[in-house]
Amino acid sequence: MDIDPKFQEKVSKKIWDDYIYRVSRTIRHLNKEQRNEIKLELKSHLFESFSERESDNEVENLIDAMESLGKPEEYLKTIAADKVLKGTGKFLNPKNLMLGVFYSSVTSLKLGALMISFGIGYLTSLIFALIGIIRIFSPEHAGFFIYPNGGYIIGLTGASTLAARDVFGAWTSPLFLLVAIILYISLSVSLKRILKQ
Amino acid sequence: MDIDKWESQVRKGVLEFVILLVLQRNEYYGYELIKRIKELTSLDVSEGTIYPLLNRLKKNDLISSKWVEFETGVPRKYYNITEVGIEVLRKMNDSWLGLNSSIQKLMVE
Repeated sequence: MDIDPKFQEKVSKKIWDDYIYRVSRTIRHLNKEQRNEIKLELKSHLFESFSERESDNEVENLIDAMESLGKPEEYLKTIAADKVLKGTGKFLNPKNLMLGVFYSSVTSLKLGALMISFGIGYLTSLIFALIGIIRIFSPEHAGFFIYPNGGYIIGLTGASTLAARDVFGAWTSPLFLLVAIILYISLSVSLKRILKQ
Repeated sequence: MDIDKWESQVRKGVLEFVILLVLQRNEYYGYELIKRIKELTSLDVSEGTIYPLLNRLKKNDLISSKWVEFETGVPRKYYNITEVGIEVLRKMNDSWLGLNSSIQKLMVE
């Protein structure tokens, strides 16, 4: 079931559609059933609020009803965060976790800082994974190298590493990949625990 | 200190308690619930904020909901308190009375 009122003014329809679009956009990360349920409830609310206004001006009544309900980007963000976090399920899905933190962080500096920290952590995990993979195809350009003068490189390099000592040798790739996996899992488990508190 | 901001935070904090108290009396749909809360309390509730709270209460099994379609064709989502919600409300009542009593003592001293 769905409701869309029949307006007399074209601009009223446009205002209504624009508000519903904003609702849809705010909750776009939820599943289809959740989105439809929320939209239907808010449409029902707006319809009643709008219908009870006493002014003869349809546009004015509609805008008043929407102002009373509020900005969907504000009042729906916690629903979006809760639903996204709930949707992480059994799989360690950093995308859902980070989305949940993002929605929460718009009102909380602490969670915003958390988002940045975990973002850096996931990026580090990705870098380790990339080094581990590139090492397979280009061993002289990826890994941990120590030069005779004491200088060292950890990561990817375009410089010559012929004179450098390849610290981990053949173990570089599996080691970096292992670190990437451990880091990824640790971050995901920690983030999920923190956000459930 | 911005007293309006403090007051707003206090109101937000008690709103879940208020919702359960009102739903204990009768089942309501969202728009009706907001109006009832405004009638029964001095809380100037921002309409949109009620929905995340209802969502959270439902997620925690304190309330349940059902859709009812009317002749007008506009469906309404009615909420009512569950057995779990009644039990939690009882505990909230006790906590509230305890807190109120402590604050009253502080104010008198």
